Amino acid sequence: MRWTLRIISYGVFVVMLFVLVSIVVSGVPYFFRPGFFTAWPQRAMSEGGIFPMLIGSLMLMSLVFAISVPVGLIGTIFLSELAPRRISMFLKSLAGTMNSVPSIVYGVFGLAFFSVKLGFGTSLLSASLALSTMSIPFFMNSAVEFLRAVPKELREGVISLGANKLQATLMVLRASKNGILTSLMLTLGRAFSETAPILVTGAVFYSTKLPGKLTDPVMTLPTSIYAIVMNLGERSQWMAKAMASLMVLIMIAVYSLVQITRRNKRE
Amino acid sequence: MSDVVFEIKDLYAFYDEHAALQSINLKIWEKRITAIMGPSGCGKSTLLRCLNRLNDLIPGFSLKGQILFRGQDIYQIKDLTEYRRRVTMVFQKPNPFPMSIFDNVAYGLRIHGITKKSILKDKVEQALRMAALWDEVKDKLKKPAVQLSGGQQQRLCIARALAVEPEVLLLDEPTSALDPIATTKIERLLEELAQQYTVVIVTHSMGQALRISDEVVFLYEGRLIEYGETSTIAKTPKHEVTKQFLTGKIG
Amino acid sequence: MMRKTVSFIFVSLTSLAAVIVAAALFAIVFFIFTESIRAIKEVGFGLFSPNWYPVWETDPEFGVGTMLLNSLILTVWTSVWVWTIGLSVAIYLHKYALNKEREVLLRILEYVSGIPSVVLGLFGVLILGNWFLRLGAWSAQNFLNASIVLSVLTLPFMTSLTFQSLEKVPRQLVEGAIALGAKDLAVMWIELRYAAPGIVNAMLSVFNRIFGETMIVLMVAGGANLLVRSLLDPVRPLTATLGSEIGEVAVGSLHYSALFFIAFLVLSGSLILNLLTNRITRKLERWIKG
Repeated sequence: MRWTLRIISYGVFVVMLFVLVSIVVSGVPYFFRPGFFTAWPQRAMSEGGIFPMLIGSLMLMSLVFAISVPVGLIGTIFLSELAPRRISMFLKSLAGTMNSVPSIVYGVFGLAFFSVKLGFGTSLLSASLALSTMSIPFFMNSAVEFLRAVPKELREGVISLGANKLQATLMVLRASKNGILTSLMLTLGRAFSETAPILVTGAVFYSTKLPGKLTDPVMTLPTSIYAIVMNLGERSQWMAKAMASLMVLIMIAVYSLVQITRRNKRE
Repeated sequence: MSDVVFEIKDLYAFYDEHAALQSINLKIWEKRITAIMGPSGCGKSTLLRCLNRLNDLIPGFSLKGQILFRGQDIYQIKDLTEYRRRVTMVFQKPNPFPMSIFDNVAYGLRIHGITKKSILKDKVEQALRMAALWDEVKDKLKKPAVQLSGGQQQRLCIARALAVEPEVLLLDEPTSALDPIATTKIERLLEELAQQYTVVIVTHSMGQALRISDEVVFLYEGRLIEYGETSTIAKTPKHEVTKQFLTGKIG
Repeated sequence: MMRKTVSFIFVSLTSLAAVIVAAALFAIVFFIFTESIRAIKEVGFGLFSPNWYPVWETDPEFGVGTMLLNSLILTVWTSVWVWTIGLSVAIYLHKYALNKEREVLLRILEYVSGIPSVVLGLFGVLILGNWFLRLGAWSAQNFLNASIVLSVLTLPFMTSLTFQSLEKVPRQLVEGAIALGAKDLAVMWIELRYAAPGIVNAMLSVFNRIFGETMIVLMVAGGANLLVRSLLDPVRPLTATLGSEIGEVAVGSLHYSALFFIAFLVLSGSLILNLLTNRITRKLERWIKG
């Protein structure tokens, strides 16, 4: 029993390590090509760099951040501090349900609603709204746990001093600062790595300029990986590998940051 | 005098460096209730857990000296499962398994190889009757055990232990999490069980020890300070600490 | 007065945010359904026929039957593997692993869980795919390849969730079982019973994620709309069709509407599964909490 389980576990370990290492290693060498981070791709992505995808992903993330953090945070506060128990439970299960909805559905919804109905077209704006629709419940689901973990005594203490709801909430937020930060990082990490929603709503395979306004389409890292792997030949694959490796390294960095934040909290 | 069930010889127990028990010498007699008493942290639970060899699970635990069960050193026993069937244990906090009432009692029987339905049924009923729980649960044997009250849960745990037909029943403060009425029920039950079983009970309640035990063992800071018949010790305690304990100055 | 106003504004603002979120789910269901009405009306039961020829000029067919079956077969097959392996690893980590082993394995699983699915897709196409060709498979992208990559995607989740539920089993239950003379397997049984709600939750979530995953099947499964007959066949699950065609279809066409019908199927699948998960976990929890 023990040994069977051990062999299975070691097997899983080897496979996982292989996946991780082979992805990272196959891309890292290309980081050192001249202009890799600063140049535009050329000759059907077989030369040049990933500058526009990098900036595109960055812009998309900034927009998702700007939309989903305020809404998500305020929603979380309502969920954990203000709503009556019943409503709070209902919203919580709603957020949980939305979390289990596959990301392609958010893409399709974004296409029908933001791109077509509201007329935003295939654009940075549609993509970031579709991603935010997905990210907000994710953020709420994770952050609400941290707010709930704040001891009741703290709340009662502040209220007994005559503070109003807003002041009491600020105190709770301060107490759960690290947890909220963790949720935030995980949310952005997830939004960063999603492909399907933006593939449908905002991404173009190739564009000659960066998006100048919100209704311009955008090139991003994940959608470019997809496009290269599926549509282009062997001479362009290095760029997909390099971007994949970069994405994995960024995600590892995010998870490590989350780890550190958690550890800080414990101490 | 009846037979000796346990003989403990010069027992030391350690958690890493810390000595939880020192130089314990003690005999436990058949078909009597032996109460192990002392203030919290005196090592009484450790002693009880040694008898079931449950401390083996704790990393850093070690032991010196001997515990003889009917003349056999229990730390030489190979077949621990059979030994634990004969010397079984009930815990402080009721710990019903996440299954039905019936399955809880049947669990011990099943792990010891009894699977025939009719036998299981009989034995479960018998155990539940012995634990004075049958009348309360006979209509809801299929219900989750956690839905019982605390006192019922504890009697269920006793029934679960009795079902495997042990010789010795070890109880670690079985009533400390219960209300007075449930406590009384369990104490009555233990007195009845003592006609068939050897009962060793850890308790911090002087009253409980006086009410139900035949023998009493006083531990203080890991050492045995006094032991003997409960009635004798209650009247003429030899040791200063025992006296203070009896008068409620330590507790 | 001032303070009251501040409080009031604050409360209404926050409830507005919550309403938006609640509305989003209903909006999603609503839009996806309304867009698929045309296909439901015009194609009817033909939607479940096996053939999908959406751009055939004379007589297009919009049958999702084969894709749906392929999706289900792929999901069930992969889930069973992920469940067994994930459970085994979690039990090992919980019961036998040394501290060091546990730490390293959990850490690596965490990192793998952070790999974007499109990157796993790339791994499947460029690395696994090459192996398959070298081993003699006639298509680099196939059912087995997709299944392996999907396992890599979901195994970390399955393992860590199961492990966490096992770690929550109270010590006194384990001790209680041991004190009765239970051996390893019998003790494990108690622990599994206690962890059951968490484990079932993990299992159904894995199923849901595999069923709804798009990028990996889009890239790795092979894209043939034929019912799978062997592990090395290329297949096309529902989400793959949706992901590859929705970007290029004319808005408002019948094809567009049929694709929304697929989205509707995927969405309902996940909603039903979610409901089922809640039901089952609540039922199982009755055995744990009084």
